[in-house]
Order: sequence, then C-alpha cells, then structure tokens
Amino acid sequence: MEPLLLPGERSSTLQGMVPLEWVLLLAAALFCIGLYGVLSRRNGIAALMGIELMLSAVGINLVAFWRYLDSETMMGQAFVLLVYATVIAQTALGLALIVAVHRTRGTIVLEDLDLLKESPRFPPYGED
Amino acid sequence: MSILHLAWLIPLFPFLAFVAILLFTYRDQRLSHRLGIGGVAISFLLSQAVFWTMVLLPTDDGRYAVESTAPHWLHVGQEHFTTGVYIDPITAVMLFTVPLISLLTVIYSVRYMDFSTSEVDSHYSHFFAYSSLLTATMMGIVLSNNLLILFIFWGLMDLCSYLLIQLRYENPSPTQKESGAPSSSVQAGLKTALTGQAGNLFFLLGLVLLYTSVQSLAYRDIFSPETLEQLARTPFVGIPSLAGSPWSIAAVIALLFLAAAVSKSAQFPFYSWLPEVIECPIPALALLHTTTTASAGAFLLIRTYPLLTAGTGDPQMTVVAALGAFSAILSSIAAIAQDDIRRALAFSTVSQLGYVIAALGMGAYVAGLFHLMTHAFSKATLLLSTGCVTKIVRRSASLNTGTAPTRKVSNPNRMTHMGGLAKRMPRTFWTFTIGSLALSGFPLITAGFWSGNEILRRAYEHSSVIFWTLAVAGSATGFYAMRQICAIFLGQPRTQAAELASESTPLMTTPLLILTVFAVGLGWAAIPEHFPVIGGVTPDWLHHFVGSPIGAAHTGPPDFTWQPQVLGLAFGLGGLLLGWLTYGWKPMQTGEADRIEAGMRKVHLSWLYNAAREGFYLSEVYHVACARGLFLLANLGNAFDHHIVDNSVKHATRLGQATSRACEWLDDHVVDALANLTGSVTRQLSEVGALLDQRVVNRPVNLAGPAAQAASEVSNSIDLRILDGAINGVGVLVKAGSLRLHRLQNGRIQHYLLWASVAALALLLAFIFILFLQDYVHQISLIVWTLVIALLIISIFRFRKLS
Repeated sequence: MEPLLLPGERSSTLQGMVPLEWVLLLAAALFCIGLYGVLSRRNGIAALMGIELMLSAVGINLVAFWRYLDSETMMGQAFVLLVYATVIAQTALGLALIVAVHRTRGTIVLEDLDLLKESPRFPPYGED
Repeated sequence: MSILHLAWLIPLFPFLAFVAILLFTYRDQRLSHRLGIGGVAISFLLSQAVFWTMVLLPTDDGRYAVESTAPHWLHVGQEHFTTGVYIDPITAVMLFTVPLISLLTVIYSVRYMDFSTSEVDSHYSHFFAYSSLLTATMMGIVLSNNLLILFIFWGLMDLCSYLLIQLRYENPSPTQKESGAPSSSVQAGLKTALTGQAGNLFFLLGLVLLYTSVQSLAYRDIFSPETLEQLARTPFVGIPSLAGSPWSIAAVIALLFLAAAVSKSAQFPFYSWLPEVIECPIPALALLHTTTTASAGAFLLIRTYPLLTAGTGDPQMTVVAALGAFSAILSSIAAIAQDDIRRALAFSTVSQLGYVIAALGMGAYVAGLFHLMTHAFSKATLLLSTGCVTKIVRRSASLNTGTAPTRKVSNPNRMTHMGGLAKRMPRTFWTFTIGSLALSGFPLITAGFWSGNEILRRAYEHSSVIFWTLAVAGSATGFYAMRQICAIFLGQPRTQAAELASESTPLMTTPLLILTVFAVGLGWAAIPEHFPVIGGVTPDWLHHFVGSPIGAAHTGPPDFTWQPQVLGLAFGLGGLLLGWLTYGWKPMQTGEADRIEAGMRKVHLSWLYNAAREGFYLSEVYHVACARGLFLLANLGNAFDHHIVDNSVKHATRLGQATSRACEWLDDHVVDALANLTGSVTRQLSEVGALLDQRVVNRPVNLAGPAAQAASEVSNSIDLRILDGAINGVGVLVKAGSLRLHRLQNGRIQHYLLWASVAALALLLAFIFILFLQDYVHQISLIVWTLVIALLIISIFRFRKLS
C-alpha cells in the first residue's frame, strides 16, 4: 500500500517509514483496548487507566498525522504536549475524586456508585 | 566498531531485567533475583570492559572523549536532537564505581531480604526489579551525551527512588494506623518525589535557557570554548545585577542546575528528604545514598562543571562552594545527635556530598570526583554493615521475645539498644570500623583521607572561611564515626537482643569485605606526587587520567603545602579522639542517656541538641510553608465557594421567588379583575343574547334540533369507538416504551458510556456507509472500524454478563 502523500510532500523523508495506516491501526487498537477497559473494568482506577489509553490513542493519531502530512511545522507536537498536560490534570482530578469517593462511600467499584439513578423522592413511573 | 560501542548496551540489561521481573517473573523469587543480579552483572562486565579500554587508550595530555551518536533521534519542526553515548574519563570512573557497588549490593540483598526462608520480604521480587531500574537509570545519566537524555533519566530516577522508598508501603506504625495516616515509608516517598519534582523544575528551566541560547543540548556543542565564552559574556536580563555587574547567562544556568543537583543530592535547602528515608531495606538505602540518587546530583554538577567556571568573577562558584560547605557542617553536626543509625548515616551522606559540592565550587574538580568515589565505597560499606547489625539484632530480638520478627518489638536501629557486638560479629565490626575510618579520613591508609585532604588543600588556597568550615565538619565527622563504632560494637550489650547477636552469613559479609578493600585501596590511585615520603611511590593515576574538565586549561597535579594537611589531619584525628574519649573510654551503660545530650542539658543547650536531632527543623519549615500554605489556600477557596458562590445562588433564588410573588400579586389583582370585568360584560351581553334567542332564533332551531341530535349521536359513537381508541393506544404505547427507557437510567456510569458509544458507533456506521456509497474510502479504514465494532460488541457482551 502506498503511503499517504499530499501533493508537494517531501517523499524522501517518508521513504522507509512505516505507512500511515499502520500507525492509525495501532491508535485504533489502543483506543479500543482503552474503551474496553473503561466499559468493562469494575474498579474505578482501572477505568481511569482505560481513559488514559484512549487519550494516548488520540495523541498517537495527532502525532501520526502531523508527522506524515505536516512535519514542517511543530504544531502537531505542541498540540500533543498540550493534550498530555490536560491528560495529567484530568488524571490527578480523577484520582482525587476516586480517593474522595472511597472515603465517603467506602468503595470504588463503579457499579455500586449509582447516585445518578433517579431520586427515591420521585417513584418510578408506572409503579404507582 | 570498538569495545566502546558496548557502552550503548550498559543500561539495557538491568532495564530488561526490570521489565521481565515486573511483568512476568515476580511470583518466582528465585528467578527474579537471578534476573536482577544477572542484569546488573552484565552491566558490570560491560562497564569494566569500557573502563579498561578507556584506561588503556593512548592519551594526549589526559584530554580525550569518545562519542557515539545516533543522529535524528527526535525531530521538532525543522530542528532535531541527537542522542548517543559519551565516554570521557569522568564517565569511565563512574562506570567503574556504580555497577560494582550496585552488583555487590544486590548480591548482598538476597540474604538480607531472607530469601527462601519463612520471613522473606513480601516485596522481594519488586525490590530486585526496582534496583535494576535504578542502576539502569544511573548508567543512562552517566553515559548520555546530551542534557536532554540526562534529564529524562533524571526524572526516571525520581520514579525509581520513590518506588524503592515506599517498598514497604503497607506497614504503618500503630499510631499511624489509628489516625489513618499513610505509613512513614509512603510519607518519605512522597517527600522524596516532591523534592525531586521541585529540582526537576529548576533543571527544566536551565535546559530551556540553555537551549534558547545555544540551540543545542549536546555536550560537544555546549561545552565548546566558544559557546562557553559567549554564554559568559551575554548578560542575563531579568534579575537585578549583583554588585554592579549583571549575571551572565552561564551563571544563571549554572545556578539552576545547582538547584536541581542540590535537590537530588539532599543539600542544604532540600536535605530533609534523605534522613526521612529509613523504612526501606538497607540495600535500597545503600543504592540511594552511594551510587544513584544522591550521587546523581553531584554528578550533574561535575558534568556541567564547565558552565560553573565559565566567565570571570564567578559568582556562581562562590554560591556552590558556600552551599556545599554549609550543608557539610550543618548535617555533620546533625549526625552527632542521631540515635537511629540509619538517620545518622543519612546525615553523614548529606555532609560528605556537601564536601564534594564545595570542592567543585572551589575548582577542585578531580578531588570532587575522587571524593564522590571514595564516599560511595565507604558509605556502601557502612550501610551494608549496618544492615547486618540491624538484621541480626532484629532477629535475636524476636528469638528473645518468641514472637514473629516485626520491627515493632523494639527498634533494632537505635544505637542505644546495641553495644558489645564486636565480639559477636567480628567481621562486621571490622568492615564497619574500616568504613567509618575511611569516611572520617583516617590518615594514610584509607581512601577518604586522600580525597578529603585534597579538598581541604584546595579550600586553604581558596578561602579561609570555607577551609575552617570544612575542617570543623571533618572533625564532626570523625566524632560521629567514632560514636557509632563505640555505641554499636564496644562495651557491654545493652539489650538482650544485642546479647544474643551472632555473625551474618558469608553471603552477606563477602560483598562487604570486597567493598572494604576498595574503601581502603582506592586512595592509592590518587596519592599526590608531592606528598612526603610516600608520594610518587604509586603514580597519581587519577589526576593523569581525569586531567581537567572539557574546555578548561589543563592543570598539573597540585603542589604540596604543609599547613592544610597538618590542620586537616589534626581536625580529623581530633574528632576521632574526642569521640573515643566521650564514648569509648568509659562504655555506655544500659539505660544511660546519650552523653552529649546529657552534657548539653547541663549547660542549658538541650534546645540545640534537639534542633540538631530534628535536622534543624527544616522539615517543619517546609510543612508550615507548603502544607499550611496549601491548607490556607484551600480554606480560602472553600470560603469563596461558601460565601460568594453559594450566596449568589441563594440570591438568585430569592430573586426568582420575589419575581414569582410579584407575578402572583399581578395575577390576583390585575388579571383577575380584568377577567371579572370581562365576565360581567359577557354576562350582560349574554342576557341580551338570551332574550334575542328566545324571541328570534328558537323557532328555526327547534326545527333543526332533532336533525342535529341525530347527527351528534353518530358523531359521538365515532368519537368513542375510533378516536378514543387511537388516543388510548398511543398512551399505552408511550407507557410501555418509557418503562423500557426507564431501565436505562440505572445510575451506572458505564452503561451510559456504553450507550453513548453505541450511538457514536451508529453515527460512524452511517458515515462510513455514505462514504462507501460515494466509493471514496480507503479499504483499510473500513477494516479499522470493523475492528472497533467487533471489540465494542465483545465489550458489550462482557459487560452484560458482569451486570
């Protein structure tokens, strides 16, 4: 398969490199693994790790497109760094939330955390 | 392709061992320690090969460096960074020291951690994994050819230190268990990590400044004479000038690197973390103190030494020297007041590294490197001997009480609980004594004498204040070294645990003996040629080998001067003698308070003793400044939330209520009145209408009446049968559907996410379908997204099963 080239792209730097699709495949696989983790893990921290994987996949996509399509500038790298700074902040926040939940409710099993369920003040429709 | 290319592989094997242990073999302790030791051993062999190749390399006046680079390592826009290994004499010397001590330490720890006994440490395999990684990162720091790679390994080392320090994270003391606080090893780990991060920030700032000025971070570029001169000439705008002359960029960068090094090497403003690290296994302490974390800071200063000396005037050099000397004296005094042997040795490390940094600040570059080496060997000897002692005391304490060996029974690390171990543990006694003497620079025979003396000589030439500071610190070193020997080994046993102690296994003492050989013999590699009588018997190899830093003029071996040698000797021996007179002349008795403490109390100076014992309250200062400050900030935020945000919400509610009340009033008084008015008008009108109706309309209506009645009956039946049926049917459908939908709102966030992803997937499918219709899509992306769908379906099924 031919690597994805835009007209005017310096093909010389791209020769011998892994085709873009492979990198995208890697990112997609990582994304799916992360999504699977988020959906299936019962432990809050493990679910958080799944989110990390999904965000890493996003980072890989960004870097791949930057490298293959726009490697003259450093926008892609700068953007990925920004994404990772955000990721770190959200992880810190997520971990803090998990610790707080553990303190108040004594569990971090996600299935036990169902405060979003409708309030018992309003009985469910159809049961009256 | 030469042997030197093997240097690329040195960090690799310990790293592989780390990965293998952590991912696969951690359940098999035997395999894990074999992997760990094997990785470090291969690294050791490769390092030795590289070291001896370097030594045998033909030299031209002692200045040579070998570099092997991988270009185009990292592209950033138009620029790219290279990476590679850089081997100069400094690297070679570190390659000799670090893997050797690491290897001996990990071999020692097999027995220290009670391998294949019932008391084996529950983190046995992880200890070997982390030690391997720590060794690998230190090798990376030593070998890298640019500061960026060094910085990466530097950060990795923070992680390793943290992991090793909190190895026994689940062992809180009883009081901590009650209050729910984390164990002290976790607290120490956090403190280390935070201090390290503070240092990293300075390091990063220095790197940014350096890169913006030079456009490169490779040693070859930044340490070239032209670059250094340019850096020294360019003034740094942004901070006020000192004594009329502005700071040069070189000075600012050097100070930023100094801050990083100081945080790693636990020097003055940042030394509070090292003495807190006492809960982890002693071999881990030996690695942290001697070969890796604490040494890495001093190594950074040695590596960036050309920046320190760039330019004239050298305000940065004065800062470095003063800081080192201050740390040295402060912590050697603190070491005198410690009862816990591990804390005492930690303060001793701080003080010795202070010597190294002071030496660098005075331009004694070779002496600094030499002292770093000799300190590594002597401190490793001391720490590992201490490990033997505390382990045996702990075990015999548990034999004594007949309970399981926990550290709660009695603290086996307190020197007041030991005594009289010389007869019971002779080999350990001799290794500890030799290590102590080497540390305090016992003249002529130990390596510490030659390195310490060299530093003192330079201090004497440089500035008298620093000379006297270091000399006093040296005598304090002698004092606490002798105090430790006397308290642990001499006199009568002061507890039953000490009474029952016996020698450790040869597997633990053999590495110790090897280390002792180096702690003594290393000095012979650098005896100054001008030293009376024995100078020149062996060549001053180290000075010839290391020569001078990159980019500085080569200075020959120093001339001999009498005064500093004699004064240094007098101070060192005086300290040892004082220690002997205080603690050894009349051995301490059971239950006796520390003699210095008692003496200080007599002269009403016990506050000074307490301050020294607590490390001059630096931890507390940080606690007040940082932790309290954070709490204050949090409280401020809370108050803001409470008073301003909450109140504004409340007021908004009140506003709404007031509005609704106004509306109500309007409704009652205006709308109702209007409605009434309309009503009465309508009534009047309808009365007129009724009259009209009776008279005029009724007649034709009476005729139409029966017809309309018939029609309405038809319409009524249609209404009842068809329309109501349809409406009721809709109602029933809505009710049933909402019951289904209602089940979706089960409060489980993962279900929500699942449905969100299903929805996203549906959109995606629609998108792909449209693209497919247009015959425009790469087939590969279809495959990718089929994968997405497949995995999602799997996850849905798995999730269904779980819930």
